[in-house]
Amino acid sequence: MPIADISELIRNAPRNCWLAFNDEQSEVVGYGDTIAAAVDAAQAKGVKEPVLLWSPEEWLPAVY
Amino acid sequence: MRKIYTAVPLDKPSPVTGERKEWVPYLRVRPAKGHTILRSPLLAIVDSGSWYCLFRSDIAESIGIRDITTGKSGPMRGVRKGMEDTFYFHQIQLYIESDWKIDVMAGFSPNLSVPALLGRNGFFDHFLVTFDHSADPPVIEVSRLGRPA
Repeated sequence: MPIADISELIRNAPRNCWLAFNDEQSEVVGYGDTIAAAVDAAQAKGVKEPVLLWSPEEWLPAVY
Repeated sequence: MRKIYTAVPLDKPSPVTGERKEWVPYLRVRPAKGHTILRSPLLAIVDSGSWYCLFRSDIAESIGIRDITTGKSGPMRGVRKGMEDTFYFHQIQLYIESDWKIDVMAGFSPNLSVPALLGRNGFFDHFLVTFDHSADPPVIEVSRLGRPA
């Protein structure tokens, strides 16, 4: 089961980019300005299908 | 399917809870267009406040929609006065967690501040969704509706 609380994991992760996690969501295994770059970085670390999340410039409460 | 929300950071403590994180109902989804499927799943927010299913435009490019402006367009308003954006709609397929596949008319914009929103038209008309905030952490329960979409 993936780790649900990833708040501290990504608090200091790069911003304005795609983050790639391993399947357990325990580690940021790549990042990039594009989806392809983030996935390529993850695959270079041996994670074939990372989980992607957009990291915004600021993490703020939001109404979408 | 029952899934615990995902906690993401807040740069400043919440004025309501005082916490420096917020729990968000994310599901893993993989958009696809024809035979082109996104290389990896992404975390999409289940958002009953959104009229439609909405995605960042770079996701469109990643599934072979090279020019989003070829789709039907429509303006969309945010909650704050003056917040308006144009979305371009395309028929796509959506693989949800490891359980389901649905067809969705999805809106794309380069200005969306999150990767994806699963909204009422396209998602909630396929699934019965329960947001359980009495649990700590909160839990989302999703079950496929039996009736034809």
